[in-house]
Amino acid sequence: MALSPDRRKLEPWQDPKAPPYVRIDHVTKQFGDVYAVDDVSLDIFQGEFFSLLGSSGCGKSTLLRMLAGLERPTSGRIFIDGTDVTDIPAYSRPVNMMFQSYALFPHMTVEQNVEFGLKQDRMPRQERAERVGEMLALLQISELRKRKPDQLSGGQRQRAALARTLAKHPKLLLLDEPLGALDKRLRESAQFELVNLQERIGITFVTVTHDQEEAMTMSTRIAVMNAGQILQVDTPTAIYEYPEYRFVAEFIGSVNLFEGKVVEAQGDHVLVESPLGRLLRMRDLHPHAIGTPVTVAIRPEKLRLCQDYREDGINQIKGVVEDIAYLGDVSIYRVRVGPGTLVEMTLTNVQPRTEQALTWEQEVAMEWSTTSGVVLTE
Amino acid sequence: MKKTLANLQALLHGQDERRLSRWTNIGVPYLWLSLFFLLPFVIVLQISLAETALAQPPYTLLWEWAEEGVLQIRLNLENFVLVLGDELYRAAFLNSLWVALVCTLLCLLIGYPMAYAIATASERARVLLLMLVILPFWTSFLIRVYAWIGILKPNGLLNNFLMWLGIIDAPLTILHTQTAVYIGVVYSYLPFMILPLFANLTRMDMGLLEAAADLGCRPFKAFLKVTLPLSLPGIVAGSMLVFIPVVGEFVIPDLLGGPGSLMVGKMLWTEFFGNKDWPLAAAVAISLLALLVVPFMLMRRLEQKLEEEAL
Repeated sequence: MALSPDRRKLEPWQDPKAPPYVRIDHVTKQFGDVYAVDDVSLDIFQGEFFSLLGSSGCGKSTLLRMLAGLERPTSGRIFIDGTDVTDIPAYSRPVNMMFQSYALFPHMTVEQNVEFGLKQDRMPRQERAERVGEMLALLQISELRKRKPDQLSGGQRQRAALARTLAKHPKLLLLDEPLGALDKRLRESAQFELVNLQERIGITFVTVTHDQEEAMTMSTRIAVMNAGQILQVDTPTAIYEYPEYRFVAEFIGSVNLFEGKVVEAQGDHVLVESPLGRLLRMRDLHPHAIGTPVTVAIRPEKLRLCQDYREDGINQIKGVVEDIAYLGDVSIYRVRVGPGTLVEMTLTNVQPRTEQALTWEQEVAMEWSTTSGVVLTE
Repeated sequence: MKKTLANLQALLHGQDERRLSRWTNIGVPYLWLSLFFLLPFVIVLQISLAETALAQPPYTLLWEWAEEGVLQIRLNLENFVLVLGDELYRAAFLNSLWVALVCTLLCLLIGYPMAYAIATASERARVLLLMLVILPFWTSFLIRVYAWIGILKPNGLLNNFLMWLGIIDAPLTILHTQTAVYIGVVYSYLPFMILPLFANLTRMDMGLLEAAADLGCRPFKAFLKVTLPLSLPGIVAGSMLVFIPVVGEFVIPDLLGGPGSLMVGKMLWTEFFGNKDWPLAAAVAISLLALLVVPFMLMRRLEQKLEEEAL
């Protein structure tokens, strides 16, 4: 299938001829006998907003620090823009990083902080002043230029740190939990600002986060990491809709998992028999042989109320409502479908809550379309 | 009704307790300062304005009751005139300030790398290294200074060692020179420089150095631009802890110094115990205090002003 030129530009990873901007080649980092990063290979393309997603201690920060040159890989090579930078120290890399703690110099004003990197490059005074002014204006902190970091709020500090990292016009910007220190509301607006900024100045962003929502809204692609390894690299949509591993499925959003056995292959779908006595028709990206025990995943919002429940119906299941969580826009129903098995279903509250029919201890039949469930690889 | 009353009582009681705790919070340090600083200071000031007398204690009272209830106060400023005007005292003051200055700089030069190494060492090594810095305090200061006589004297440890190595042929004269004073002072006061510097450096966010490196700054320049300015409070604290006591230092110049090493502390001692001239000794002490406190107070004032301007 040929890609349209537009698509190729937006999704360079789909184009086999596109050169990667960052290439991480079998990189391993050991601390003592702990493998923080375990044989990771990854290509990141120019103009991407790439997120490394994982829980704390999964090695995502170590990987980012190796890109910045703050840690040396135990083995493997790192290339940036075609150059092997593995042995180049942090101060000579064309890369800038925004630290989780912001690491603003407390003894310097906002202006001096932003200017610091430019001074290291021996940029002439006039040009330096212009660039600083430009950066402060870009992040709308011009009126704070004479303040010291301890006289700034969390959001202002984040802007100052971002201005400082952007000032040198890096080709690659690394962000370590960039929005972690902000409260929820500030974070949401900052997310959109970061994406806008990235689209405007067109540099490549690599960000580390443990916040799946943050990764979903901002990224072109996400790499989900666990125990030093990358499990899956894909677009936010693909990661969410077609997770390959149980860890990925569970880490991002909530998910219902069923065990079962493949009984019939139907093209890119398989029929899975579950111990609950039901047949499930699921999308299977890596066709499994008949008889293989598999885990299948279905997101709670993909379930809907079933109008014509049949005893032999495919992708249909029946149970008793055990728990209801009312969240305003949606309600989450926990339905007991078998001994020890609960299924989560999310329904949009189209009707006011008080007028809804579904209540506790009520028997309910649910179904989902054959395209919404997926067989996990693992 | 009963309940309300009880509540009210509890409230009043609570307030009382709070007031009491506030008074003790402010009162205890004030009481401490008045008892152990202000009172002795007033006594010394009073002695410095008196005259010597063959009495017990050996100075005159500042006031006496003349006839018909008239209070007569006599202040003698001659001691101050002598202390400030006399060549010998002026030389002693200048020498003391010079020795203190040189020793403070030496302590800073030696102590800073040590404090930095301790602050950046691993958790286990840090405990051990700090222990090594503090350990000498477990031995008497006097004994440690005496030990230096054994090391520095002509047939002492240092000279024997250097001759054994073949670096020198004849023993060096170190003991009873200004050099010996420098060595003794730097050795004795080094921990007072290291500890505040360590306390400051250990609190510094090492992430700042990473940020500097990330922005293109080489390690040594990052030290000059980030670590050094941020450790300024530690440098000031350590320098004051060394400089102030060294100006008045008496034991080390007395034991290790020679006739050339004239220091205020030694002169004070001589006046007080040798010549039994308490008023003159007291005047020396007061002058020394003025010499040290006034510049520091001015500096502090300036610092505050700068801070206010920054805000």
